[in-house]
Amino acid sequence: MSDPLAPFEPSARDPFDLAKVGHLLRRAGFAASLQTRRELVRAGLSAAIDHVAPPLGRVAPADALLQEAIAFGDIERVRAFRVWLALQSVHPLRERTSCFWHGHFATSNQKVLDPRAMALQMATFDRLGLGTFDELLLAMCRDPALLRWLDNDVNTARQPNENFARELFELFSLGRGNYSEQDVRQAARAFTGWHVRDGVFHFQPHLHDDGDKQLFGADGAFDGGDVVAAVVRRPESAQFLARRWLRFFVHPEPDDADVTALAACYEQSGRDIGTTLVRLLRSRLFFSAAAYRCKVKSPADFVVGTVRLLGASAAPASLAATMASLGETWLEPPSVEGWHGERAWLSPAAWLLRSNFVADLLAGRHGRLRPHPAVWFRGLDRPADRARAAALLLLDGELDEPGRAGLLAVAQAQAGADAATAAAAILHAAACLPEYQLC
Amino acid sequence: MVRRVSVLAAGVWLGSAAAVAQSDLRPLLASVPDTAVAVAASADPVAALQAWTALLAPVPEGLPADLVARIGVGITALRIALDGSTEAWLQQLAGGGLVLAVLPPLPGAQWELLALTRPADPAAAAAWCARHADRVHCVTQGDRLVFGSSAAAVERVRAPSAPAPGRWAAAGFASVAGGDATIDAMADLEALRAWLGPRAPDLARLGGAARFVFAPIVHALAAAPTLHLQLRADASRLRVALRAEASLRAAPFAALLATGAATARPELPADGLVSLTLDRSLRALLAEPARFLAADDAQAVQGFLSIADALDGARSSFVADLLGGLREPMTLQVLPPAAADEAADTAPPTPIVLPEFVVSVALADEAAVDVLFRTARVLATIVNAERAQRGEAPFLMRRLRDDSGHGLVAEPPPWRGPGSAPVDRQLSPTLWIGGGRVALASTRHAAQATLARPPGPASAGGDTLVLRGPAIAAAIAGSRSALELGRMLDEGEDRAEAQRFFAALIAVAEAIAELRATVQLDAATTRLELDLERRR
Repeated sequence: MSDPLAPFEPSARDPFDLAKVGHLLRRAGFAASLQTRRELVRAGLSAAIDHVAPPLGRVAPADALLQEAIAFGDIERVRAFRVWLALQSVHPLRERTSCFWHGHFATSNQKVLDPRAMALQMATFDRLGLGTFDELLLAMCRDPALLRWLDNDVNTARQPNENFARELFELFSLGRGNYSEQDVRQAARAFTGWHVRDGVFHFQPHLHDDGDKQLFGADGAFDGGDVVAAVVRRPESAQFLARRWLRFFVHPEPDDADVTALAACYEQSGRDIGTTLVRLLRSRLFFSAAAYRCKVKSPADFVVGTVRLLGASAAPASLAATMASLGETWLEPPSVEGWHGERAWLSPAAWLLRSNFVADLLAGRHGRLRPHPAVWFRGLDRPADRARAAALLLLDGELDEPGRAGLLAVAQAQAGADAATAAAAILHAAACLPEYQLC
Repeated sequence: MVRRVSVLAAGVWLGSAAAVAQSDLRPLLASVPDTAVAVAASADPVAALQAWTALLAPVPEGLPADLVARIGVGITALRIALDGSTEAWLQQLAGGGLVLAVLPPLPGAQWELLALTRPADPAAAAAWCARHADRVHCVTQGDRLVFGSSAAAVERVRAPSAPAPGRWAAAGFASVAGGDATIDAMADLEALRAWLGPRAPDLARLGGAARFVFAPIVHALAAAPTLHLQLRADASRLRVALRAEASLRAAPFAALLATGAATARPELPADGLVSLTLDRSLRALLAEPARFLAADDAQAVQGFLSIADALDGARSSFVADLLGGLREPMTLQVLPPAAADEAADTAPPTPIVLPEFVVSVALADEAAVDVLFRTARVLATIVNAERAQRGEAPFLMRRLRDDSGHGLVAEPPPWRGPGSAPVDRQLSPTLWIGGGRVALASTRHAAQATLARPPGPASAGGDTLVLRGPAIAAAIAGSRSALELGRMLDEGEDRAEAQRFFAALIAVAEAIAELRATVQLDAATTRLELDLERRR
């Protein structure tokens, strides 16, 4: 049986072309302009991987901007700042992975009521989201927003609160069925006294239960750090994370064999997330036909991705509001399980809203388009050429015959129109195609 | 040598032309069609242009270089289009006087603009018109030129031989006989309202805040027959005076005017940013919201009052006892941020530096002081309860007393969290009483400093707005990076664009030493004056 994580080797029959670059940029980032995609096709697979995942040291941190974004304590501003980071995509995989972790450790400001804590949690994802899971999970167990969200700031030796420990096992590290109620109760005791003060983690020794605990068959006076160390080493944790990553980056229903292979890769890397994900992104599995356009674009994929595909300059605050209207309000996930995504993103109402957003964007109501899409249509007078240009710009030229015919019909209807009007009509039609709703 | 001679010639020409200026504008005004709804006149338009040029030049330092370059290109393009300098062009075409008129559109047509001028050099002016006949609608009538935005507009001018002068000849322009106003204008509000008909904005149904803030101006626009305007400029000042023959004092909304309007008002300190005093009574507004506000606004006010009245239990009424104990009007001032206490705060500097805000008002009834303190305590408790819900440390309430008075201060807890302190740590909301006045301020410093300053001379009442450009520029500069990020997030600008926007804003603000706007009412007249002082 072949290794699904074996590197993808481009060939004459299966080249590294615009479709594959578009796939990589959509899954490992928030898409990119046609110019960037063409450059990456020329540069090749390794350069493209290096583009989406440059060494973190090469990327300037946004610490000063973060302080400015949180200064007012306004959640809308923090949300807009996160959209701005996605629009910039200085490190596409980092922005994408932070998005993943936000859905994984789903924390909502609706309960936390602290935009600063929410912003700092996202900054932790930026900083540690591609490091080792050991370090990330420990940081999340000390994260003020998460501790408050899951009531650990009231978890004391006298009155243990199991909420945090239960979600730690069920949603963050092991998955249902891989721990016992006894494990939850003991872990809850280990996290007693892990509280928040003045917006930072604060250990309160007098509220901590330092007695012996039995966890996963072992005995000891465990604290939260010991629980994290024990959890990350469990094989179920690797399987759990691998399945989550495959669902997010590759396929909504991954094969068990692929899960096992990715879990092994993760273990071999020393539980290094970045190493594991980069291996996944350059694998045959990632570039397989089964993985291509098998996921539904989230509102963030659709909104931010469309802006980036068109090279538009849009107001992040306005985009964040659009994403919210489409069902994805960053920093306010619907529940502790995050967004269920995929088919849940699509409904007749959502499709209409998506269509309206693109029409507004092309009409300049979300900001300037630069260069204006009409530039791509300059010199293209034949409807067939215009339809092809739209398909390239938004769909990497990959669409089925009915879609192609539909685009051509719109282009023919716009035959007498100037380039700007025709571009807007044809691009809008392209963005309304079923293919464009897929990631 | 050639250049010297030409400059000398131009000087002689301009000097001789000046003799033409200051001429009687009545003949020009007599030709303005009666249907005109607004007319502006200048007996010496060249002097007006020189004054404006002197005021605006040089462009403020600090403007982005590309913007300065664009201005330069624009001026050059204008010179090319005018075949010479703007001054020489204006002297040539209108050195003996200029009247501009706005005509409402005929059915199916556009608004029209007319210009009647008396050229200093009729031959040269006629030649200019002939050269630009393809772009400019211009005819010569005796010693004057008539320009119009269309040929039809030119035809609407009253002929010099008309049996009687038009109504604008007797309109009472100050500069009609060479007065000192640089530019003098008048709008026929009655005609404008009639022309607008049902499309006219329903000024009586303005939203609550607009109705309250702009009450005198709204009334003047809705009731006055005409609006007079005078513009005067020199190298350091621009003065705008507007006068309308109607007054809120004689209207049903007169009750909105403050009864204590003649009391002394606090002076804006030299480093202050903004001072705003509205000669208005919040007490009157809230006592009868249904009388002054639209139904929705009135309902919102009733909702607010049901809560406000509960703050002090059954012991007092928010309107009758708290507001009734104050001698309105109130004055809002914005002061520069107090210097940070470096020893007290070791957190990184905050990217937002808040200016200080203070509202002060004279005290009419000492009994209101107790109501104010009790209300302030309840509000502080509510705020602290909300902070506790968010896991934030409470503001610490302290009763303090010093030479300037006594008060209640909500002091922010020290910041021990990550990064720079939240912006609310710059606040110490304060209620301060002293010298027969009350101050409610965003900081203790602002409250105490405001009441420690001697009040200004007794005011004649009216509304006053003072803006100090350099202080506003400094406040913007103090938080510039965060404000730039705001534009990036809200407008979609990149950092360079946001930087340009604030560079221009700061440069313009720094160039304005002070802008003072006043609205004065007497029994039958509303006067609005704007005085802008350019910083040199």
